Amino acid sequence: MKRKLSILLSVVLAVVLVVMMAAVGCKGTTAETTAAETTAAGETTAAETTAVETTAAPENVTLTYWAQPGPTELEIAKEQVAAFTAANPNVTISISQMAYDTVYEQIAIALATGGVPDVANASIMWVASAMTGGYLLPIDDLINPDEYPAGALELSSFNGNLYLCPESGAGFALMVNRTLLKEAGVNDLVPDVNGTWSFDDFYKVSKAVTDLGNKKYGYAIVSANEQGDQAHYMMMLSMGGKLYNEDFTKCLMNDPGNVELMNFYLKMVDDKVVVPNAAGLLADDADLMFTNGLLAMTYGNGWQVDASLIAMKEGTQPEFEIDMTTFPCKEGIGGPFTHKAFSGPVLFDTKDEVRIKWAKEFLKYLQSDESLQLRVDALTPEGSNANLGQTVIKKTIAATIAEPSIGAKMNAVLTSYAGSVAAVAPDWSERRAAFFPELQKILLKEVTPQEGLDAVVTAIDAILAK
Amino acid sequence: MIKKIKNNIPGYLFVLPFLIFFILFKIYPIFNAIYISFFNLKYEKGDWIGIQNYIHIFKDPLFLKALGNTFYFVVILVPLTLIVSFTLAQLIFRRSNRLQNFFRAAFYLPIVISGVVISILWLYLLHPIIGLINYVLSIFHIPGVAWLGNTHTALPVLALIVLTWFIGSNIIIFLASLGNIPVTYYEAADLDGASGLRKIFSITLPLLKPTSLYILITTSVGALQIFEVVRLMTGGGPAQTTTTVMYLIYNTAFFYGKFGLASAMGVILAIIAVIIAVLQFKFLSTDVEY
Repeated sequence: MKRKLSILLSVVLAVVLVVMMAAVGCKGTTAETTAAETTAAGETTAAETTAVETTAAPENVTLTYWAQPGPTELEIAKEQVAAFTAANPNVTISISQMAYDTVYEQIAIALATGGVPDVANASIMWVASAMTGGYLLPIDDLINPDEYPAGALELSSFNGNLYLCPESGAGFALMVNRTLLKEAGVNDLVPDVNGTWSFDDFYKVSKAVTDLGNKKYGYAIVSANEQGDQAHYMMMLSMGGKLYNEDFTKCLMNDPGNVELMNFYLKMVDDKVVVPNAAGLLADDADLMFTNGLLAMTYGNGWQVDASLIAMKEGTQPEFEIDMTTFPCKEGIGGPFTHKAFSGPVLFDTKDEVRIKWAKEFLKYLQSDESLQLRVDALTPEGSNANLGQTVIKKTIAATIAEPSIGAKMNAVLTSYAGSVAAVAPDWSERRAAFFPELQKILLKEVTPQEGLDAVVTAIDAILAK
Repeated sequence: MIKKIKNNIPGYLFVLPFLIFFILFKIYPIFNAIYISFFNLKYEKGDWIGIQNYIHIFKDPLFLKALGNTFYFVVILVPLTLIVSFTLAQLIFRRSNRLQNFFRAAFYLPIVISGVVISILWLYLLHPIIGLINYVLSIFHIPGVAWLGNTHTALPVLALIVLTWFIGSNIIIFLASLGNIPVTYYEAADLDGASGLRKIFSITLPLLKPTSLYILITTSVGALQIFEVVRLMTGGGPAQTTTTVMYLIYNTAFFYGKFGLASAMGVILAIIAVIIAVLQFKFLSTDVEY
């Protein structure tokens, strides 16, 4: 009897333990998951939201939507989802949010396990591999191309198909601390976002600001990892160099213009007019120095500028006069040169016809003027017309944004986009990883600039050939 | 036999939940990784390619460099961990209980704190401009060093940082083992006029052989799996001088999406770890009992 009781107790405990551990393992893995089933905000006009007309009763469907990182983005997503589901009650949308530091891993795991969302609002950089790998659905039939700048559509397409709806754009160039520039007496040499300037002036400015004793520097050459590599690509183009051939089947980074840029970097390092330890400097190091008023110029975007302005207002960052300027360029090359990155919704191929149908409807809603106005309103800090850098670029909305911020002005330079960094060609992550180790070797003088860039070309050509 | 099994049924049932999850989340992934290592799997698409991944790996200069960097960690960390842990344990062991407890906690603290936090802390300490270490050097008019930006210093610096993690638990293990050595041996040695060093080499070290073997194996396996410090502090640089096999596996899988190739690297690393452990067992195992 005692033995039978012991066995029974063991069985019960074993079952309870298995169930408990399974329940723990089945907990949601995303940072926040919200099912927006009903309208949360009374002020959204559900009547204006497009309801999909169907002849038969619409099928019930649950979609997954990945919002961009950031607390404001989650709030925007909730409002958009609430409005859409109010107009289409058969649709339930579960919102998850990507984490900026692990976005590549998150997408890679989703692609490998088949756990992709139906719709994601992402930067083109993050989904480039998914796009070129055939995991995204083309959305040409969902967008009116006349409503978007042609350059934005081009950078969001691959093999002639549009995959990302360029909802918002961030202009990347150089953030500048005009307070430091004025103290050094070189502020006039640095133009605003619509101007051009030479590499000679860039050198002069960096030299004038750099004060080793007080740990103030003109510029930081970052090369510890792939973060910030677009700055080098833009500088290469600005020096008259090339990156890839037209169809992105051949790397051209050992171009003489690029070799000249590397020699220019080495001169700045040797003359000690940049932050030391270039080979080991992280982009985050440079950002930290810049926001603490120790660095006059660094690679950045309009979003970072606007975020700094807010931080200065809140007192969490030292105050200084912040602005943006373009990359310097060699005479005769043209300019101003900036790098553009676009973000917007993409559709993943879930291979479920019903989900794809409603995901397309949701994407169409996300691009409606009503939905985009939610984004503009949310990203405009109270009491100002500043727009957080990532301005909505759909022409109908962009035209209504009054008194644009520095970030928005950056985006107005859209037409001056210099050249593609080939993010929308296959194996973007792998190609980036082939570049910066050779750049480090060049900066450490372990190889000559030509040798280093030749090695980059060899590595990238091998990747492109696969 | 059947009666024995019947008698042990409660025990098996208690072990069953752990066994299920161990098989599902440890054993199955190992076999799955071996399986997909024979495919050119990119995300979820791939074809059978046999041993092509393995051939590619051994021809890849970056993998060979990463292997070299990984072995550097093993060769440097394993003896250093043993020597430093043992020495500190010896120094602590004869102290009062209060002092012992204090040092136990102090040396164990790095293990309790997240590796990410420690890595970020060391990033600030080693910063070439605002770092504390270079600031201290500047007080003595010694020029600052680009600790993580120099190909000669980056790897040794990372090894030293990892050492601070490794020694903590090993000091605790050594302390426990030292307490198990009968005092009578030392008393007998005292009667024979043995010096302190003689007692260490003739009594302490031989009797600590099982413990040392355990620490040797676990530290070797740990050194083969170094990833956090590389990911957070150097990104594998400068010039790939700190890229380890684990870091390469991570990038290959989660940045390039090449899960087949990454699995093949993982299989090779596992085989290396098994070979090292088997060799250590074969040549260093002992049947010391006391």
